[in-house]
Amino acid sequence: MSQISATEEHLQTRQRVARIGWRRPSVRLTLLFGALVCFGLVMAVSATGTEFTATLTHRLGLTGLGLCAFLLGANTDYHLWRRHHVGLLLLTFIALMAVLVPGIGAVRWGARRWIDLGLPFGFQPSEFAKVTLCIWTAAYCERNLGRIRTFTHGFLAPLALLGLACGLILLQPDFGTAVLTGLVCVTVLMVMGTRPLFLLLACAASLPLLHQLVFDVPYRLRRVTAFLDPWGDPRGAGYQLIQSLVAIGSGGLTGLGLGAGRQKAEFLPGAHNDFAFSVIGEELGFIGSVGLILLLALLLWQCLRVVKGSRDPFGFALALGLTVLLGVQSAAHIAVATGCVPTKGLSLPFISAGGSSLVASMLAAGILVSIARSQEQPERFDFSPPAGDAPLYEQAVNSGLRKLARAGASIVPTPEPEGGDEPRVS
Amino acid sequence: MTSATDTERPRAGRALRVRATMVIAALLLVFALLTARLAQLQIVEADTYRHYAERQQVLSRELSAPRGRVFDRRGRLLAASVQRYSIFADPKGVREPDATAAILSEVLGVSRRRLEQDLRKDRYFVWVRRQVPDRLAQRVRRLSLPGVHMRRESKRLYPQGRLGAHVIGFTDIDGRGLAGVERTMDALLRGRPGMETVLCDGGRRIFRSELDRVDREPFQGFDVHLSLDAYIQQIAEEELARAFERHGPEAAGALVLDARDGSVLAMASLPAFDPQNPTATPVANQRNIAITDAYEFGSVMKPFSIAAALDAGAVTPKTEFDCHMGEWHIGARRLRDVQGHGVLSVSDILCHSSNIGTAQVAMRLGIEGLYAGMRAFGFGRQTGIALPGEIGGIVRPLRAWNSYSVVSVSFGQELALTPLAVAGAFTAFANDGVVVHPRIIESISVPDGEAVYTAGEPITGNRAVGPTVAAEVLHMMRRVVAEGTGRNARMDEYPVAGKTGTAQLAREDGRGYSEGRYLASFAGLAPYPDCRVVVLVFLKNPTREGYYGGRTAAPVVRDIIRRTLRYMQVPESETPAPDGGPV
Repeated sequence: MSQISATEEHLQTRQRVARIGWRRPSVRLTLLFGALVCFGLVMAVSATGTEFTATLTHRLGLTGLGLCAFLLGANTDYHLWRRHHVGLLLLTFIALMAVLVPGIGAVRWGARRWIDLGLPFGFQPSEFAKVTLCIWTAAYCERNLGRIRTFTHGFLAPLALLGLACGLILLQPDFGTAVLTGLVCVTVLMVMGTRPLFLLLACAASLPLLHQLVFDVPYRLRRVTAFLDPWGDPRGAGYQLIQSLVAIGSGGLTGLGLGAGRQKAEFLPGAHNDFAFSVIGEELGFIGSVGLILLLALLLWQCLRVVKGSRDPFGFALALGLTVLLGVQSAAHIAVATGCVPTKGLSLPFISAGGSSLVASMLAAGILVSIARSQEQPERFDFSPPAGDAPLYEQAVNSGLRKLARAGASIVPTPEPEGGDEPRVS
Repeated sequence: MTSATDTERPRAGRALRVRATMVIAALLLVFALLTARLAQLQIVEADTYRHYAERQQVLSRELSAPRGRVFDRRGRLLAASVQRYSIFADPKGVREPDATAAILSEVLGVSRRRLEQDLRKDRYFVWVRRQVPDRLAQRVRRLSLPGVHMRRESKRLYPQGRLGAHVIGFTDIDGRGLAGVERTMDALLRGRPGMETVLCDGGRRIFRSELDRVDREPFQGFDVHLSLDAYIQQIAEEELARAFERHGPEAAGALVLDARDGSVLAMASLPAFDPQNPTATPVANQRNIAITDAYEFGSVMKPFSIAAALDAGAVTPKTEFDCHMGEWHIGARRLRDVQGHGVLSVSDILCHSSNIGTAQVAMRLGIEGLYAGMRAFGFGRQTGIALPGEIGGIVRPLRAWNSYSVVSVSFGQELALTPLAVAGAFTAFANDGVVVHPRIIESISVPDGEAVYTAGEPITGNRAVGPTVAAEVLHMMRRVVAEGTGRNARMDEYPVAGKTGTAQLAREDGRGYSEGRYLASFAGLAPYPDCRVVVLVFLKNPTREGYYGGRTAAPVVRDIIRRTLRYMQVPESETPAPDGGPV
């Protein structure tokens, strides 16, 4: 097959795909995200019961802001984030440190997590840190692709930086978000080539620290013991988990009906937030909650296709990171609500109340859609590295590949081999 | 180099893709496990959790039943319940206890300090003020203070004020009958509370929903119709109060009975109390002394001794006894009369209330005869009236009587009786010798509906003496008023029969009698000879303007009888009885 005919065939395919919109990954993703956001809107109003209008207005405002973030993410070339990854990291660190300053960060429910920026929601830096750290990790992996298996560049440097960021989150304290962020970034590093041996060692080394974190903070220890036996203290430490289980269990197969949940009436603390899934389980039953899980699974499946279709290492790592972020956070939230893991304050992306969570999630969704779009319109992008970075980029990639070739490893990022759209890395 | 990377790149890319796929697949596997967990919670164990949820979300709550009403014999309302708002607070929901307490204390007039303490308590419920007027409830509602709520409660009201308070009684703030008819009829007045099922939130606050259901309708309490007549009660209380003012006794009472069926038309005691606020006066004021206290009535008892002697055939009205000019020694004791007389007939003995004469009549009757006669009039037993706290009085058993007892008992010592028992016994003289049981409950009916209980008529009682004897003694008592010691009860409008009594009060320590303290009493029946009412008035230890029953109690009885019979539209006598002449 000649080069020309291949290109022609490709263009025909593209036109066909463009006609049938829902076949385009970006359209599918957008529809799935839209479905989740609408579902979240309905559940947010349902979970409040009283003050219907006020809640709806507030939530609509948040969704509007989220939509702006989504459009920002979807309509900009995602390489923009790579160009500014260092700046983003710096901003993240500044925000994470600023929130710890008593005059700036506001304390709610015993944690210093919010900054009042005059937005309709309290700005929560850690929610955005999840996304920016994913961006940074992806950019780092791409830059150090050739050295990713070395101890210094593949392990020590990124882990030190991530550890610092997660440490700041931990200081708020927000154990759940810190663990989640670390887990997602480490997963990306692992996929991109960091040797598992280092991580095993790191895990072994951090065990005492983890032990310290869990056993020296009384409420965390109580949560752990309550998770193991909630009925041992049904009015105290086990209360929230029991109320969550009661909500989900009493929903039964078909649920009590939208808006008819009763546990949200001051039985279940955090019913609209960290235990949003419990309300879904109560009101929509097994059918509704499994429907939501299927929706999330479908989303992950579509995201995986986008990850695999990525045309450069940064897009691959970023798409993977954001996908894993959304997937792990959803799974962790549901696992907490069903009593499968100890109680941690994790929101359900797109559905829990909480402006920062919604806006950050929708920004991540926008970036994923942007990556998906880049795969549909290959002619729009020049996959050559940016002019300023070109020598460094090529040098890095080539030296890495040489080292790899010597080491006999077989790790080189490769996008879909589609005609002449190959990124020129050699 | 180029060819090498060209060949390697797809393989390497595949490795990355495989790893990414593995990560996502692991996540999907977690989702699958979570689905299994959901199946366990929502299908397998659903019933357990549903049960638990129901236990904490659903409240079974009582629906209060309106308390029944109390009416007098003519359907005048004496006691009824209304719905009022009661204000309470949830200290956990109160944001600023001090400010809230300050506002509430000003609006509701409750103690600010107490409120401040209450609002700081580690509780979910404290009363602020109960059963407030709607006007105040509206003001509190408009304040919409956080943590301050109100609920509807039943408040007992007594529209006639203090009237008949001792008979009607009162309830506590929760509507439980504590005294009077409110207490004895409590089970009937209370009705049966209903049950409802409601949803509540985590703070046990109830919210209305379409799932609320009434499991059992509340059943309003029965209406109680008393034999009391509010107007006659009013008369008795007014006249008694006037005597109370004039003679300054420690306590006083008046009883008006329907002579034919024993219905209590009025039952008044002084000092009195306000049933709306019974704690404002000393607890002793709440005693319905017409049934809770027993007295040695003295001469008022002479008609019963003489009736017993007549009925046993020991004497006739014309049998004469020497009254020894007012002083007679019997054994070591000395009997005295207020006025000395020579030879008197039995009729004269009663007319002039001669102790010496009565003692001789009783001695002729004998000890067993006197005891049996007193028992026949029902003395020493409760009358069985449906009011709380009635005592039976003291009539000592025959074997406890000594040689002097027959003398003492004959003129009303050594036996302590409740005023109601004495008034009830007098009905025998208006009923051909049959003592009818006094009664207070006329009927009981479902709310505004048919009666479920009616006292019935006529009420039969015990036959104490024969019809002739009853008529003879009644005639003697007519003479008491017409020409004897009870002349103060005489009036032109109605012919009255009656008997005075002035007895030394027993000492508080139970040893003998106290000097200078008397129970002044008068029992009257009218209109003679077809008597419609029996009126008994007694004053305990009158301190001013005389202490004789004929002087203090008889005018009260006269006034009560006059006004009562007029109210009952009994025709007045056309020709006034001439003074002192035989009637």
